[in-house]
Amino acid sequence: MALQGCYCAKPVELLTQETMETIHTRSLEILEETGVVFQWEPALKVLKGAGCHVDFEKQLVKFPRDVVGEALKSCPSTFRVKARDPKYDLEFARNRVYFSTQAAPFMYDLDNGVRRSATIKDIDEIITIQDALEYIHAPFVSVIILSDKPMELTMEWLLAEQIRHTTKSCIGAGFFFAAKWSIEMARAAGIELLGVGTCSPPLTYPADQCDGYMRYAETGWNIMINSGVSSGATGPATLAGTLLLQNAELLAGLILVQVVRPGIGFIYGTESMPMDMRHGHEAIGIEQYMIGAATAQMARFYNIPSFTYASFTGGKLPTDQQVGYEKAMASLLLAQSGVSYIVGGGGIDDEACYSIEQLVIDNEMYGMVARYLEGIKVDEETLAADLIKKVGPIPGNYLREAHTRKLWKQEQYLPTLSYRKSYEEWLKEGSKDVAARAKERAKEILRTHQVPPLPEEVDREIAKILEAAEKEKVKK
Amino acid sequence: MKEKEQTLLEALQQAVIQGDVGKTDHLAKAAIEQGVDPLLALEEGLGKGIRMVGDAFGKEELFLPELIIAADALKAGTSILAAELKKRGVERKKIGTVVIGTASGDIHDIGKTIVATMLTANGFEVYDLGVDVSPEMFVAAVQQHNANIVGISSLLTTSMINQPEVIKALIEANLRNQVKVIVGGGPLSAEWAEQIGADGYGVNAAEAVEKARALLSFDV
Repeated sequence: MALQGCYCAKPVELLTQETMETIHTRSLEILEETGVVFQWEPALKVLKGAGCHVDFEKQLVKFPRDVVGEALKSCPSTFRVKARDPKYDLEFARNRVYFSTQAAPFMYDLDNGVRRSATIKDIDEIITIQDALEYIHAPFVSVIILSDKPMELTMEWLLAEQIRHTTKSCIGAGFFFAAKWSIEMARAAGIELLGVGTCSPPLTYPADQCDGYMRYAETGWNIMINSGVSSGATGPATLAGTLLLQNAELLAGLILVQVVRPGIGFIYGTESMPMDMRHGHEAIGIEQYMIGAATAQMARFYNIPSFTYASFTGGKLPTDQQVGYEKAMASLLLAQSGVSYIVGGGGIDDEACYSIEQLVIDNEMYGMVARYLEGIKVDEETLAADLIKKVGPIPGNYLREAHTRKLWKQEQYLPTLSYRKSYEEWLKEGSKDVAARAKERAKEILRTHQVPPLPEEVDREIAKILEAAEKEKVKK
Repeated sequence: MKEKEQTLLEALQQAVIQGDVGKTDHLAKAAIEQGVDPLLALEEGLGKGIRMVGDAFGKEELFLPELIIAADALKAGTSILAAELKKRGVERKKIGTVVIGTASGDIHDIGKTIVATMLTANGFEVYDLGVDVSPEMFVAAVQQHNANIVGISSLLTTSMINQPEVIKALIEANLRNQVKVIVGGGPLSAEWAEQIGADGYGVNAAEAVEKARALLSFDV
């Protein structure tokens, strides 16, 4: 049985059916009249073979409507990704929600709280903690600059360490043409990857991303693509315009993937957010979360899963309230909107920094959101009408009732980091804030959590693949 | 005999842990019938059982609903064994005798009940006077049970201001030197306790027990 994740029974809807139909038809116009650039010749060739109009010089592809319709028809609504431990297999399905983690170039040092680049040792620790945390259903790639490995090999190293240190599902990226080697490593370990990549708005797919999508698709593995429109800079300043542009882009990616391998899973994603015109920085905040919610709704319109790079915050430290309120709003709204795969756990400082404390805090927040999604169970037993009559007014109370003993635990999510005792007790226990408690929890996980090691021959095989990749990719 | 005695003591412990009032009552009577020393049954049976519950509560393995019924079972068994001791003229060592209640003007029951339970679980003899307890009722109970601790609870600021009235009534009845007064409840603080001339303040049930213990050992 695959990992159940959470189930969003009644997703929030920000768009009307009419709006979604309009976004769809106007996207068809854009795809037909303006087209999308694919900076990768093999992609241009297969798209031409599928009946698109391709200008090889401009690398521009225009999509006839029937090609779009055909590709949408071949997209499955349910599919599976095989993890090392089958209980962590992902099974994407309508209204199912998985929580994931964030990718960032830097990390926040667990001991001294300084932002720095990461080493392989940090990555191993991060992955081990992700493996231990209950509500991190599907870890994403984590820190994407490694100070002790060549930059061109980052994605291969991140995947190798994921395969080694978690039995949860693993991510295959396309950056730096990593797909070829990623596929080899995953095959050696007997797992499947969830291929992931981006497009570069407006209306452009870069070479390495195309290479990744095509290779993962050829292998028969499912793929998620996000569009990261910067509203006002790389897309219209309006949220509606942003949704339209990213829809055209995502349909183009969906077509490429379905043309290469009809019937593989496609996950419709977003990283879009406005630009803050006061200083040109990304405007992480409520509009981004709204775009995420609307993206999930558009994906449901096509009956395919969704993902968002949107459980983000601009706050700089795990102790900063901005981190707390932004991530809480984002996580609850996105889960309520039925996003299939929510990226964000552990992220702080825009998309720039990964914090282990924050990861542990986010796990607890996701636990609360998961409780919310479970809803309120109503039946004869939970309503407790007979009990209320039996206990009556004061001095009656419910602490002694078998009903209480049986049901209180199933009704409550019991947080382990949130503080629920008095001020005096808090003082006595060292006046720690949640980040300090999360840090202690993280250290404890690192001391105690054991991930089953890979079989030795698989580990050796992965090392060999890394060597071969280095030989081919890294210029001495 | 030894083996049979051991089995009975363990059964008493389990009955308390399960919070089974009927079973505890039955086993306490059986202990007397079978010639088990009532003091031993109290200490190594009921007492050990409730200490195990207390430990598990501290480790968050058992929770308030289990703790409360364990204390109920303890009470049932204790009353039977204590009566037997009295009949035999044996003096039982008590940590202390507590009268506890919610101050007049306040019908909030739960916090006070939890404190009473924790005190019971820790070997105090506890007389729970309930809610909306007048100063006169506190005084009468202290006299009746020869108590050495008075616990006054308030959840409302409107009843909190009645707490000093209890202390005043104890002074007027010449009982203030015989008892230690502990106060507690949501809006209270250690400063408040000091201001009204109470002897201690417990921020939660566990601390109320600690305070009660400390105040009495200071007495000895």
